[in-house]
Amino acid sequence: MSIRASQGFALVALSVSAVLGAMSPESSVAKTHDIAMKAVETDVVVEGSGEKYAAWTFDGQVPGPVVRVTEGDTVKFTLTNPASNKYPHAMDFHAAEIDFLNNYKAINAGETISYTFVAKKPGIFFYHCGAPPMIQHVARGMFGAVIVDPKNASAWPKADREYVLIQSEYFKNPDDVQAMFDRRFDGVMFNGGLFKYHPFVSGGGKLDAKPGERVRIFFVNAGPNEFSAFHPIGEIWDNVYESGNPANKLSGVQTYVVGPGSAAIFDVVAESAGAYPLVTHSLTAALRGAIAVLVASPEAKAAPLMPMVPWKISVPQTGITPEPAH
Amino acid sequence: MTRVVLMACVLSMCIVLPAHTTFALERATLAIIGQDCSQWHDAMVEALEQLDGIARAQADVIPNHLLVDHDSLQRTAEELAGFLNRLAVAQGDCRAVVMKSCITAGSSTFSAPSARAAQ
Repeated sequence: MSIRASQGFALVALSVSAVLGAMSPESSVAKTHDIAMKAVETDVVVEGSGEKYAAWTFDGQVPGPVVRVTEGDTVKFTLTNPASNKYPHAMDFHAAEIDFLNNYKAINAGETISYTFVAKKPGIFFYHCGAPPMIQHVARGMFGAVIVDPKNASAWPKADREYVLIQSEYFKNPDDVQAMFDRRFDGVMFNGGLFKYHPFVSGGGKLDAKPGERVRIFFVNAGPNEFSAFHPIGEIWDNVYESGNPANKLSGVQTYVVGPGSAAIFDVVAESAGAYPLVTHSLTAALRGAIAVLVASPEAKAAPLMPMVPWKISVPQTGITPEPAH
Repeated sequence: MTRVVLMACVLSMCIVLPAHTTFALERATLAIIGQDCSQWHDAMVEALEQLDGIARAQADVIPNHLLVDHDSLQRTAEELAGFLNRLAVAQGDCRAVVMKSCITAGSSTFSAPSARAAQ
């Protein structure tokens, strides 16, 4: 799911934008996006067995919705913390350049906060809850991605297919904050699930592409603590863009480190049909959940930016299917 | 009368439930090696799904591989491969082999070989 808000954006502006766009691909009219999110404390599926986790979320899903705007656009953001919640929550947008004191403060259950920022720099950015203890709010799932597309679309090669992948650590006991400080994670997830895109694991899916397609991975490391050494098994990153900014381009990269709270864009082109696992080469993390298999096949179908969010287990419920733990 | 029926139901649940609580759902990945084996995939899936303890078999997710969701307490992945290799459809060039690689993961990665496998 992604939010590309258009509320408040007049049709007139759309026509002007279309006209200007036709005149010059490098210019566009800045838009205003009204983005509203709700802090939701709820259980979400984190394993292929159907195992659930007492998460804290934005809009009831882990990761939260992808926010996608264009460089120069204005974001008018509102966070609601419903009275039914138990804990304070907050929102910190790494895509914003605004005062932290007024905008990123925690709000109690029953309160709302709004603020506005201009997405001045293109790239892929992290967003997360900053309520104390922040380490727990991130570990329990309050994070997501903001894509700020470059105003000049020709700043990089056009992608044939796009995915958002967000890495985060999984702590089995969501209340054990000490384990979070001690880095005693039980698994590492992509898009809120252990082995979510690993077809060799029960309940796991995959990421699809066609051979020869340029696949663009918008990668965010939510942490809260571990670094990611992102590597495509059987491939080499065609391009890597630090923070997702087209100006920060590297070519022919085997493994690229993304720290907690950071992000990068990875382009890969799999020429041949087959499977290309995308992993963190920190193996204690990969072999405990952070593996996403990109399957290149001529039959590949279109897919959303974050497939399988939320994770609905497709294993048939037979006599041998385990009861999901609650 | 209602109480008797209720008691009977509760008792039967006590007998039936343990049989359903001792299982371990795992996915076996079987590479199907040989020429033109894809023509046999459907027959292999059908044969596998006749077995007890098989939740689902899929041949259309990964090229030239079968994914088998099964109760690993009833059969190991190697036993599933052996079953396929004894099928008439696999008597030609097609062989099923348990796929193991650097991304082999899941509970079996973290545990020592089972007593059953060691026997």
